[in-house]
Amino acid sequence: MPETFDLQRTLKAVLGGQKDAFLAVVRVYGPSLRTFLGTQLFHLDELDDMAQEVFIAAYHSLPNFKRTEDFGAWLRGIARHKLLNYYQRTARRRQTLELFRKDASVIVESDLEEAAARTTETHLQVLLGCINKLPDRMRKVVRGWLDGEKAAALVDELKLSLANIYQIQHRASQALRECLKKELAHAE
Amino acid sequence: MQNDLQDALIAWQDGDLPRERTEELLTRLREDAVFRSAFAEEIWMLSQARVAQAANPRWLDLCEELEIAPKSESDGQERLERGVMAEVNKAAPQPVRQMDWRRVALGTMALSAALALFITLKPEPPPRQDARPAQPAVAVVLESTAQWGAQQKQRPVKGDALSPSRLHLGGGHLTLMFMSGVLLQMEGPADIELLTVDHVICHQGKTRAQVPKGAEGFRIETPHGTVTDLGTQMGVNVAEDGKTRMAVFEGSAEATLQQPGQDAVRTLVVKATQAIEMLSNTGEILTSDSENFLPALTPQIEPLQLAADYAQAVHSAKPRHYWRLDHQLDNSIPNEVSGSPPTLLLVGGAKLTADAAGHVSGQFGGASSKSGLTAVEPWLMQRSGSAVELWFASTSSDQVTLAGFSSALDNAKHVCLLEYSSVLLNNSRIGRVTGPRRVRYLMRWPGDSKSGVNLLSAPDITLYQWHHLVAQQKERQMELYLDGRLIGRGMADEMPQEFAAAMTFGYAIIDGPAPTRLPTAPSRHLSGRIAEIAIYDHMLTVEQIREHAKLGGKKL
Repeated sequence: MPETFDLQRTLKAVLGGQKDAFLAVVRVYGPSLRTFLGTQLFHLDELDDMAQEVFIAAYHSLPNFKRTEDFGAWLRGIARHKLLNYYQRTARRRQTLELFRKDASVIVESDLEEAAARTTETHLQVLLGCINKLPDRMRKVVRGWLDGEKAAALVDELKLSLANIYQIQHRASQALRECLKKELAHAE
Repeated sequence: MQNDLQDALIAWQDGDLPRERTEELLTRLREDAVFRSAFAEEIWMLSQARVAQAANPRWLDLCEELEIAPKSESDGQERLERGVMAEVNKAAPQPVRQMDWRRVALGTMALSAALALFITLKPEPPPRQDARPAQPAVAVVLESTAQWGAQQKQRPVKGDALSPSRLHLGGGHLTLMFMSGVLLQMEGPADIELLTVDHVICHQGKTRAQVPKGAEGFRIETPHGTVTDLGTQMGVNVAEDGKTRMAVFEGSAEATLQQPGQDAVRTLVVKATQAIEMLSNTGEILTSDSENFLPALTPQIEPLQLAADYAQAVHSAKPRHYWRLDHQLDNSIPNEVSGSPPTLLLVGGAKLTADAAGHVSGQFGGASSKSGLTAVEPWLMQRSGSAVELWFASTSSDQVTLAGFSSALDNAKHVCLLEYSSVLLNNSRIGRVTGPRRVRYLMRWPGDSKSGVNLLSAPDITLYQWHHLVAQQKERQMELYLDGRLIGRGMADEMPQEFAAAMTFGYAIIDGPAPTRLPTAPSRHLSGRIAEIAIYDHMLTVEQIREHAKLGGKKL
């Protein structure tokens, strides 16, 4: 967490009527919340709409937040509730594999919590640099993630088999993890 | 990658898997903690990479809920947040740890001790209320007549610094100066991604890159191949259907094309006046014509916007010498300080000319014109305090001397140098410490060309823009200010009470190469402009420096 950000003081300012101070909360907790939502929502528009809904709900529920709680975990709790509603709203359209995502996300909940607690905007900035350093083909696959492209859509573009695309995706993921670890250690 | 992990990721991304298989995977996720952890790491990285690459949301609904105005400019959010946090933290601002090049460089500086060179780097800036690490800027908008596409959320204007981002031009032109010194023109309709200072992706549109010496390796990637500069001016056109043509106007470039169905790539070095077309479906690179590429653009230095009372402010600070460079008598520039010689002489191709707004300043033509300014009499530099103040704008990223102070006009025994884009160290372990976009303030005693104490700015100076510079010392303490902000402080060598300094501006006398260091000759000529040179026998106060910078249009 950035050292200059004082959550308690900021929340006090917000509750004292300084509404715009809440933007500082959004800035600090936005990256990990959006990443958390991104594990379950593939379209950026949906992801950002829901992140916004979560922050608005959090803003209104701020008097209920216990100061001893982990604010990030509290936000993700709101997010889980919203995701559940989302799944219920879209139940008719749900396919088997979407159900897999819903069920799996419940199973890996505590693992994702750990990852979320480590994620800051610094991580994302460093990661962006790491993505730019990837070899061209690997970077194209990672770019595909941003555009919500399924691996199958990259088959034609890269003239590779689907299995190869998933292999490259996995290698890119490993390379990014290593780069992130190295860069963050270096920066500290 | 193990099959289960791959299949779980396929299922996660809505890939094609039978229901029985997804049930198996869910069971393993429930029962195998190691597998579960590996899977969570993968999907977290996948999501993190998407969020890292995506633009920040504008939070319009949230702003409405908070009853505050949403951001409208590229830096609006940051400015807003900074203002908010400034208020929130007013009671007790706390220091922030800065994790940037200065800290890294500081650690490596010890390695250079053997070079008998001590470098004092930029100190910690004042506590920042905005703790968000600054998104590194890769380019600055030099010119814009862009008509932005509907999908362009943030619409940069002239002077804006751009971080890695995607630009959608519906029409018009946009000219960017990359921090490496690369000039990139683009014409809409265009869809271009800025990735780093030396790498862009052109999905569509016409581009032209002018790559200066030292910035070779600039890459323009297209859907049908990549073009890498080898020191050149080149144009790359990507049509709506992805058809990609490239032409080299000066120097050479390398075209790289992935061979279909292979890991191999085809490469071709393209020379000046040649043009090619890249065919990704066949992997061929064919000769093409050089028509319909963007013509070269020569950017202009923006006008210097000095307030009417700027000169009065300088006079109030009691300079020893002050040359406004806005008028001349024969070949010399009179000293504005009454009864105070020396005058400055225009040397070589140096001349005073008006900019687009009519403001007259010194114009210097670089190495080819051998231009500069020389003071006919020395300045008695005082150990008890001195300051050099000037405005400059450079049109090249070559190393230049803005001001040189030596024991005589014809030797290279400088005691003080103010330089831009200096090459100070080029050590393979610590990299090139200086280079394009940095200002260097050197103090040394005795005057020679080997050692000294340096203050270096961050590499964030942009070409074609005016910068305000103050370098000052008192006893051994030295300070460097750029655009009204303190860059750093250092402890210089012991120097005598007084030193008769021969002054040059816009160039320096430099020794030849080792071992003889002959011939000694004028060198490091500025290509650009200098204005409002003031020399003081005392240090300026922070308030005076900030006021002068503000009167020249710097926002502080």
